[in-house]
Amino acid sequence: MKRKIENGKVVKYIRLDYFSNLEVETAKELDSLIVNKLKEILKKLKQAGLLDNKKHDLAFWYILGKGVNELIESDEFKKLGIPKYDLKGVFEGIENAARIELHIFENLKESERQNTFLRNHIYRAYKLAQFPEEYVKKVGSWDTWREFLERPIFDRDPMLLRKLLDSYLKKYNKQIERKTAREIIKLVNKKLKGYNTRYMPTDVLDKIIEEIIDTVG
Amino acid sequence: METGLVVRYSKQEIEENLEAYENDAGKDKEHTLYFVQKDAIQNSIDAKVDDKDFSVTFELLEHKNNRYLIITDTGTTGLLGKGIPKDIESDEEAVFEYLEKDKNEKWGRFETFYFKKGEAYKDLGSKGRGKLIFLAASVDNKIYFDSLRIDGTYKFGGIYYEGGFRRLIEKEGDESKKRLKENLPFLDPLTKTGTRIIIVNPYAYVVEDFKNLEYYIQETWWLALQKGLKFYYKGFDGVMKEVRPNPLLNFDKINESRKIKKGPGKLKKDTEFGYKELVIALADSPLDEPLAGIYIQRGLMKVSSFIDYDIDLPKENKNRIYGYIIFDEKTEEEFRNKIEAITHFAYNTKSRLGKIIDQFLEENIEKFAELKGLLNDEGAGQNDRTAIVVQNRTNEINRVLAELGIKGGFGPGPSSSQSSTQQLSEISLQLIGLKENNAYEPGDDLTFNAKIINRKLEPSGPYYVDINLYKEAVAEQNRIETLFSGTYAKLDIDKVHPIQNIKSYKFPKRYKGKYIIEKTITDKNGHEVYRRNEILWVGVPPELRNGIFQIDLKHEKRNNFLYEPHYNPEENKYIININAEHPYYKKIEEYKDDELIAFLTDFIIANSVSFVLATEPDRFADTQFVKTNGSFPEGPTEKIFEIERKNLALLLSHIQG
Repeated sequence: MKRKIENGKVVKYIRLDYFSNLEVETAKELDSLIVNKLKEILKKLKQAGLLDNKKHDLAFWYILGKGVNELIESDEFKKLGIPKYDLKGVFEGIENAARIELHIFENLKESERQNTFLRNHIYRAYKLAQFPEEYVKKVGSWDTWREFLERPIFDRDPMLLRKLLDSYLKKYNKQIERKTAREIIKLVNKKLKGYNTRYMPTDVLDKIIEEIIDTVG
Repeated sequence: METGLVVRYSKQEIEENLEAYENDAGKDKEHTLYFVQKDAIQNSIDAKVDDKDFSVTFELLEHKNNRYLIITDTGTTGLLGKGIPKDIESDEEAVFEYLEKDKNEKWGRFETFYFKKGEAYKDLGSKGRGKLIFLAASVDNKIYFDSLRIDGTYKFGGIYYEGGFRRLIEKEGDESKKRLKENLPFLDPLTKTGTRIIIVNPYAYVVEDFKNLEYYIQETWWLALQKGLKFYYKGFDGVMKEVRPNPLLNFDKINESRKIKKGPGKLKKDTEFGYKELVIALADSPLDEPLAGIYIQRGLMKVSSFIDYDIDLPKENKNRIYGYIIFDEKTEEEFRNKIEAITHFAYNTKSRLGKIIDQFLEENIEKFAELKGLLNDEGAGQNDRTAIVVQNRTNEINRVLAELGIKGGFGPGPSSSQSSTQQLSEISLQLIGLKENNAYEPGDDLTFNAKIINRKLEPSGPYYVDINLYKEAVAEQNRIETLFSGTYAKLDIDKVHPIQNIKSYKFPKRYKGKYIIEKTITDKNGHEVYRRNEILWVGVPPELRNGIFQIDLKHEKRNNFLYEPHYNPEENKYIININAEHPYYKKIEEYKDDELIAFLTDFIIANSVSFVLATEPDRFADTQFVKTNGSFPEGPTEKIFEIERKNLALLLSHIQG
């Protein structure tokens, strides 16, 4: 949690510091949008009985992610004019608000504050919820998804991830274990190193994907 | 001169073999020497008679426009055997039968690519394709070899390419000596028992890589070096040098508190697999990649490092963990015969034994990491932001000092730098019209043109050209805009292809910091033939490359060490190690107060100046200093806030002149 020393006393940082790039008014507005959305999300999580569990599972992250997507797609949010590349502050703000206001994530360590935000919990949930719910369940657990979602190569080319997952599900018709996910990623990094997958001829890419999926079986 | 066929050698085999090495060792062919040293020494150690007389020497020689890489061993049996009889050489089955019959027919094995399909993982030592790597190192695909064997006989041979691979067939003794003189007049027959391999005209990158040979041997053969085996090398300068053991790898010398030692024991309960010894240790600072991880040993040879484990550790801590495992005899035999890759650089991790090894090591590393408080949960990973603040502060101080003429590094060098390196490559994409030092102000317009020059690539495309702008880091979520995306059907060699109509961008008023222009060119197969980044500094001064101070964050459980400066003569810099585990530092990190972190950095650097003064008074000869009483307080960490910042400011203002 963020704290600051003022006159010798420790005071809680207000969340606005995450939005220090914004005008104060905008930051305040964003803050209230976030808190309202989180309350909505919290209600849904409670209804689904997902708040008792200490460890947050796939369903938890999906509901959270869905809510974040709704927030970012909402007209009120769009009006604030926050560009996509500056969503990092928003995600950090959501995480912080969730901790302070809603007392969730207490068992979760803070997201690492890196230049890229692939390892931000909220960003991962946001990305997860962009897949259909049924599909998400079919693929595997949150641990498996996390592996995929934090890799730059899939962030850059989401179609590549979709193709790989489709190919795996088609061939084996079962969930992907975390270990298998790691193996797939390892092979992707090895076989596609130096390639820009978006420009690869489809047949060549498909063949490599097939090889990768065959290998991990 | 009689010659014969070389069974199963082909250019394709050589190429595929080299690829296997590249994949398994994770190094490209420019480091063929890394592969060569491993196979050569492994062959020699396999033929070792005793430790005392044993040695392997690598030499570079030049003679009449030809270059040679010569590898000589002593204290070995020599390459025993008569070679493949000429009359059976075209009958593969007969050759294999001949070799199966006589396990000592080492010469014959050298002249054969001797393993049958489907036997890739079986009994590789004797059938290995290691010698193919010697041919792969030669531009001419040509090697000679001679051997003074333990039975006193001398034999000379060679393998070369002439429409197909051929071998020299020489009689032992005088005829062999004569042939050696004819082919390599600058060499004398061996006088000590052993074998010599002469690689004719090694590739330029092999010669270039020779400077790394000691490092390669130190890494691969660290255990052999510990046991006192001797290795030497001699470059074109003719000076013979001995390979010294890497002191970091003297595991016996590592303090007991920083390592665990186990064994003998089982790798997994109720299995037949066991190990003799497992050592896991913690290095002071992150190690270079090849040295990190647990070394999977087979005999004296390091096969690979086990490092790709699934434990949540920050990278700098991961690279501090190293050690080794030695298997028991039965497990080692199984390892060698069944799962070790033909290249000796990897093992089959999908096999039962492979999985058991990986699991055993992972569990032990995790326990060790927990014991040493390295796991992410304990907060070691949270210092990212602090590190950035420390770095920025250091940059700032370095910049002021640089303006006063106090710089690190050697040579003139610019005081500011762009992070892109424009090397002469096969193709290039240059930006035209960026501001000096790539320095911009918020609100500025970013407008520029660009040109592509194709120097070597096949002109016909299509080539896909992209120019993207990012904030802070090149990652999809940080992408601001695609400034240009276009397809070129053809890129003529050495012609300038201008790129126009690149989108312009206005830096927003409120964003200061680092922006990155990413430039890529992709060919028709999706292969990225060019990728470079150009860093732009918006509203912040460009990063300084040749600053006098460099901060290194360390994780040490030593409370009496907050920072330690030392001089690094190679870079002409003062490196200040800051201990991120020190209570002061931890406390500051916890508050995440950027100003406070910057203050600590100032304080440490200011104090380090006295160290600099003591080491090298001339450097600050023209700068006036005053003494201050700004000492770091003892007692509860809360007190650090009571430091009179003005004292420090005073000191700094004097450093800044």
